[in-house]
Amino acid sequence: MSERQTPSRAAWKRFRGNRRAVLATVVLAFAVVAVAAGPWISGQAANAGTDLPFAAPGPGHWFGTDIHGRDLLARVLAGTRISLLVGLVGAGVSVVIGVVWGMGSAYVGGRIDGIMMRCVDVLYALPNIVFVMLAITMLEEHAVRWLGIHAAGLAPAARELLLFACLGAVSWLNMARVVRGQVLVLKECPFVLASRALGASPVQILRRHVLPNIAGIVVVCAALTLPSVILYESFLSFLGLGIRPPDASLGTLIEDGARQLNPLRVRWWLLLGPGGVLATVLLAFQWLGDGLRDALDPRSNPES
Amino acid sequence: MRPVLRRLLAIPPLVLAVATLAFFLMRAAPGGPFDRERAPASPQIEAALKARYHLDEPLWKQYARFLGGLCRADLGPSFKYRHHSVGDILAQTLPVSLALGSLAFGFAVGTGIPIGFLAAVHRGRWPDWLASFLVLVGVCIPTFVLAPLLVLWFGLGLGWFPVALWGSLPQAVLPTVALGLYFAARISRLVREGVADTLRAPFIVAARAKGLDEFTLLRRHALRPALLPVVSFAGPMLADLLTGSFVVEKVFQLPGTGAFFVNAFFSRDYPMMLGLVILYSALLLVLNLAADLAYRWIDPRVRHV
Repeated sequence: MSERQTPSRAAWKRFRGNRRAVLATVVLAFAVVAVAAGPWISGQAANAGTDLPFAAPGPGHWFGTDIHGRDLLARVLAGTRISLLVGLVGAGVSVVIGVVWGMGSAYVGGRIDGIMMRCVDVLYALPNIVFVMLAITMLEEHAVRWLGIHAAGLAPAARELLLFACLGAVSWLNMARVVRGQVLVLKECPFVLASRALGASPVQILRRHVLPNIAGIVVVCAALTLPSVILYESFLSFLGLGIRPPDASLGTLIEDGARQLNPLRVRWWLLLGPGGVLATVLLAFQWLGDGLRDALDPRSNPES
Repeated sequence: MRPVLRRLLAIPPLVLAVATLAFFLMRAAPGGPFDRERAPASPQIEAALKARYHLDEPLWKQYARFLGGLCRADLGPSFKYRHHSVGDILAQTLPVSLALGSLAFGFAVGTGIPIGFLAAVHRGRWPDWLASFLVLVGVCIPTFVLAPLLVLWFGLGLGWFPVALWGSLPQAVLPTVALGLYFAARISRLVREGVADTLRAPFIVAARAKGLDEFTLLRRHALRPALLPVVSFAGPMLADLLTGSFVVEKVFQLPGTGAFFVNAFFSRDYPMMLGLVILYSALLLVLNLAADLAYRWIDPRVRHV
């Protein structure tokens, strides 16, 4: 009993006790390492073709090869890297915008709050796909052209980063609503009133007292946004707006596999490799999100 | 009923705001409907086309024209399909998307709720694992993979269902599943969590202690609060389903609305895009309001807030 039971320590204990959450963390950590070590694991470059198209999985090509004879394991690793980046950048952008917007709206309150929330309503009612397509083409036109003039080498990377950011920019609405709801409650709490009475500035209050209290729900919300961003990227790639060949994400690899579907010749490995990895990553994020939610909610029961 | 009326009245201005935003965003996007790469034509013809559709006027005048058309419930002619008005196209394609969307909604709710419920009741045993697996499959397989797989297995391999076109019930089966499976998975997950949470609540223990039989307990007391998250999820979901899906319509060759969302953007068909944006936003706002009303009906505590 000598150990002080702080809320964060209790949360960590609950998290450790959750077998699924721990497993998910291990899987994701493994995925990150594998992605970083990609070329060493597969022994091939992701875009290097061989003269063995559609080789079945076996020694040399553990995941088989695709239509151009490229090693699928190398491509899956490269694709996982892009998909994870999409998810992380997208979720990160949505966290930043959502938290700032929701917190500002709730804390300022009054008419500003009303206007800011109407903005969220309007964006929410705009079809997602229209918003994303417009944002991508507009930003691409201006930002990538600017980069093309000033730093030509960066343009392809900038295009992908832009795509990731756009995906985040359309998925912050829920986050803003959730955060606003929490801050509305928090700002009437006695400890916030007390520090205001002591002369703390709004920025100090938000940073010291409000932010730590909404961190839990934000993390959970982000863990749930991440998979949806990853899936959305694959849909955009399907439309030709996402990752461009020869680069690949898990979504585009699955799509390439789906394109080879026909009743005559079954090439299951084209779908199984990327699909299996995507499923694993999404499941891991889901379990991680569930685990974080249960751990960060003090009312939750560690037994269940 | 006052707040309901107020929210109902707030819908038209919101739709107008969304349409205005879409109008100006679209004009800011690079490219135009009669660009050389889209419709190769001599400069004279291009100029004549622009004049014909008032694209040579200043932007505010075009916006005023759009508003005027809106007042007369006229969305204008489509730039791509030049002999049809946007209203005509929507009138022709929307019924297909509405029918398919309703079927997919029915499928998602009809399978998602029972599966999630069974999973929660048998928590940690095989129905739960089976349900988790189904959810994983439903969430992870993108529609553009699921649809060809369904065609391959059930259409071509087993020959159970026709693989394309629209008009009869068997033809609707595969598109319905392709469209609805993702939402069924999401719903069953929500229900499972909701029921599992509710089963831990004190009032369930109390009801059990009083000797209520298990069936009534589960149906009347556990399921009802668990449906609340589903209701708030169902509003936006139904709006998505009813306005059609690009992928499903493409794979199954259905004459629905969904394909236009993407195609109108690529061809910079401004009036078509605006028509779709207005349709979607109005539908979404109305359905969200309906979801809130259903929420009040299910959960009496919300009524007096």
